[in-house]
Amino acid sequence: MIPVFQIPRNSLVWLLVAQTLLILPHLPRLPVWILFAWFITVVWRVQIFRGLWPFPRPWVKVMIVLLCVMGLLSEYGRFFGIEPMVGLLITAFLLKLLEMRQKRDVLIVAFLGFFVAATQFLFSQTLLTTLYILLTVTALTTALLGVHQSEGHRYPWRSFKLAGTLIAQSLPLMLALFIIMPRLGSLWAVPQPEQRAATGVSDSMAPGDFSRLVQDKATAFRVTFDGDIPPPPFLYWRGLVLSDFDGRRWQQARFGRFRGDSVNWNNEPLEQWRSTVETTGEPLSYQVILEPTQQHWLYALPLASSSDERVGFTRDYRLVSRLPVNSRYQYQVDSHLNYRLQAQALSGSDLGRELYLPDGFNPRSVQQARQWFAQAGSPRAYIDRVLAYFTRDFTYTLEPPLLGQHSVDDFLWQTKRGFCEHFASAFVVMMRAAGIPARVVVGYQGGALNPLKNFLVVRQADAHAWSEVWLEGEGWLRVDPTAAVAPGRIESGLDSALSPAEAELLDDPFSLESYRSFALLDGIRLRLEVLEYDWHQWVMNYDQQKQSGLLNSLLGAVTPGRVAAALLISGFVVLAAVGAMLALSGRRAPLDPGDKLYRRFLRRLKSRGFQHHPGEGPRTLAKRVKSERPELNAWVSQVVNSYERYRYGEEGGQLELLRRLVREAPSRRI
Amino acid sequence: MQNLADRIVGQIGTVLLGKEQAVKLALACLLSRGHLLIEDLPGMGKTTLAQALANVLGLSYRRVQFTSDMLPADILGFSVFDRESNGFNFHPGPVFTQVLLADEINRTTPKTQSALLEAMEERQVTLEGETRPLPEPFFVIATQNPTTQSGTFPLPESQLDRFLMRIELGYPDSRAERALLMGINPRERLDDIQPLVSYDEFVVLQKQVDTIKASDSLLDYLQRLINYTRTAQEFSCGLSPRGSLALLRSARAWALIEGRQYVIPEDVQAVAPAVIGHRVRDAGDFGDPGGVALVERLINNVDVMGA
Repeated sequence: MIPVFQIPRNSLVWLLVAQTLLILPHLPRLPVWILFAWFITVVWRVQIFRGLWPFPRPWVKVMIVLLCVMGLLSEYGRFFGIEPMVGLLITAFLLKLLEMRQKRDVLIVAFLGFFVAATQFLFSQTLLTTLYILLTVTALTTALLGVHQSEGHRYPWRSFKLAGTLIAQSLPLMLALFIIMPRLGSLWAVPQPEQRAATGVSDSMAPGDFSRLVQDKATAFRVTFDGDIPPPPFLYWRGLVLSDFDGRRWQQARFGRFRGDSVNWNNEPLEQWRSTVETTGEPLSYQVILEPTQQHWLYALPLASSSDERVGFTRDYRLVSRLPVNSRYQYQVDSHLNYRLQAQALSGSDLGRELYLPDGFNPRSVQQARQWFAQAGSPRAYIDRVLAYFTRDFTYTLEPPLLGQHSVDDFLWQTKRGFCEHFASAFVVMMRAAGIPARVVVGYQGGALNPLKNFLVVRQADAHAWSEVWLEGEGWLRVDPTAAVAPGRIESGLDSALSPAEAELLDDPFSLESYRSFALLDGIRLRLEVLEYDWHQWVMNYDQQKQSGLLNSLLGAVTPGRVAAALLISGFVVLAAVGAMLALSGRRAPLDPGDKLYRRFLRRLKSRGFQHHPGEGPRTLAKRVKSERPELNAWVSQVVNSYERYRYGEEGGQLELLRRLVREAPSRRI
Repeated sequence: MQNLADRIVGQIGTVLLGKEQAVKLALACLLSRGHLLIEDLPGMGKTTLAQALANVLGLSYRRVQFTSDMLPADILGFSVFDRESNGFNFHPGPVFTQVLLADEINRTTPKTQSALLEAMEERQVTLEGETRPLPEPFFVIATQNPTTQSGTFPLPESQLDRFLMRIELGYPDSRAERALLMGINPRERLDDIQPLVSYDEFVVLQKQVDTIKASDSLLDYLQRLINYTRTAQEFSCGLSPRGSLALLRSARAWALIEGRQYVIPEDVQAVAPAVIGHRVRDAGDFGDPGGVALVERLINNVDVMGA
């Protein structure tokens, strides 16, 4: 029987804790059976530790591995991709528990754990994630420590504290490396996570979509304005333009999202159609940090342009990103709030698209629209007529009644209760029925100002749908029918536009957003927002360009020599700080003046060729001097007498005498 | 005081030639109210020293020769039925004295050893349910043969710890030896030694020990020594608090004998081998707890000044 290495208890405990911490955030992405596998391996491992169960036999291990691989394959259907790979890694991390026989195996599992911790960043890079990973890394370090600690270490918290100290000590160095280390491009392309639910506004709109979306308190994007923040009625963040209507659902126009001719990328020459835009006045510039949406489209105030290379401009005057936004995405925008779009004329195909209504839907609305348009006489008057109808007895509500096949008819003439998408949809249908080109625009409206840092936070709850109508000579105009029904929605946000009972529905007890009325909690919320914002600005956004800028300002010029010197110096500074801390904590009480004098006396003796021994008391020393260096005897015995009385005796106030005696050393050459 | 101490040492010196240091240590031990263990080969003058000390201090003196067949009752005493009074009469053992010389204590069995050691610690004897106090003062001066000799039961550490000091006498130097050979047998002159102090004077002296000043500086040094025994690799175990108290008390008594009102590091160094030697053990040595060499290293390595 080969003697089996027993994992120290501390190490195993922390390994299991770290494993739990590591797997938890991955769980939503993992197949359910992993939980089961996890449970079995942990129980088995603990039983092995307790000496109750044996290690699994080889064929059992092979079976388990085969089962897991098959499970992963059936779950994901493929192997190349981030999620299956992470799944495989975590499965390996779990199963390796059953294989730990030697100290080496424990080390492997711990290092595997560090790797799993790093994969977490593929999915999320927020401040919270980072802190959480720091915690898991500390737990893993504790497990590593535990392997090397002797049997006597039985208190898990002590090891954890030690590991925490180690991690804390390594933080300054980590920071220095983060700032100074050259940012090499990734050596291989890191595949992006794929199976992820798109968040935020989707590319189609049907009744009920928005009332679901606004219950989400998550941040959609943050905006920093270079100048003043425009008032809320101007804050219409255009995301998508929906022109196709099938009677119930609005979708983007058929000409495709990315057909070459419809997107004008920033590195391409300006297309002809971009001249149909007229702007006046100075642009408003701002930065948007968009949370991942898994979509291409970007949000901006009309009329937006961006000088960012990754951004393109579409035929319907929106900004899009070349790649889907699957991690936080920052872009710079210039918006002209005074603009005219396609003021001259619409082409035949454009007109046909923006006027299209499916046959056989909403007959009553179509009929009513024609009647009102005839009565009104002009498109403007007709728009006012329709908006006036909305203001009369419509209710803005989160819980509109269900609508039938003729959704607009039902809404306009029967239920008269709806959310923004009902109003936008009905309004556009009414416009088109009267021959006025119109379309639905979805995006966000408004945003909450964070007074601490002066940036705007736009949440999913700010999602909104409105409409644009085209008038000859004026181009596309924004008309928001919701503003006619619930002006408060535009001016001060959703909460104020809903009845109190409905506003309560929006409250999520787990979101700080719901506690705005408590000053303290609101302060905390604002501060957290700022933290997250700064995190993005200073850490996530710290790229090669920013680094060279910072290093330039710090070092004067970025040369390899200077960077290396800066690395060395910062490393040295960190070590020096640690050393200083150690020296300070270990410093003894200041020396007694008498002891100082005696030390000086010993130095003088030494310079006269007499070396004392550490364990030698004054009197012994004097005796030795007497026999070895009789010429010094008179002086030494006087000093020793005086010192002995001062230091050990009862008479105080001998210090002056001692000082004088020490000073009166005989000259060196006798 | 110096005068008195010198006279005592001088007086004993007439019977135990050339052993001033050992005599002073023995005196310091008695002044500190501690028991003394003298370890040496037979015939080195252990018994002479003990008896001379008792004589010079004017204390009553009993001597017990320990043998392997001794029983506790041989030391503590026993009760005998007396037919006339129709009751038990207690016959006190040799332990009921002021100075007890326990000769060759390690030749007897542990059972008997512990009977004596109990009396040493409690300064009383409990026999047949009755507790009888021992006279004041009560000193045990035990002698033992080196444990390497045959027919010995070595005292365990816990019992060695009861002795304040353990001293060795060693061979006399050649001058003392010559004087010894030329003179008459010292044993015969023991009776000539007259008490130099009365019992009351002796108690006053003992009380004086407590008034000797130990400055902070000295206590620092003492603690450095103790810490060294507790942290250095070469010590298998450190000095106990009882040991450190014993060291300080002995150093005070030593200072008193030296005629000083305060303790200096040399006092500590003088008593340290006797006080610490039997309480520590070299980590590399599994035999006899004889740490005198170890204590010398300790004294040489620990800085008197403090680093």
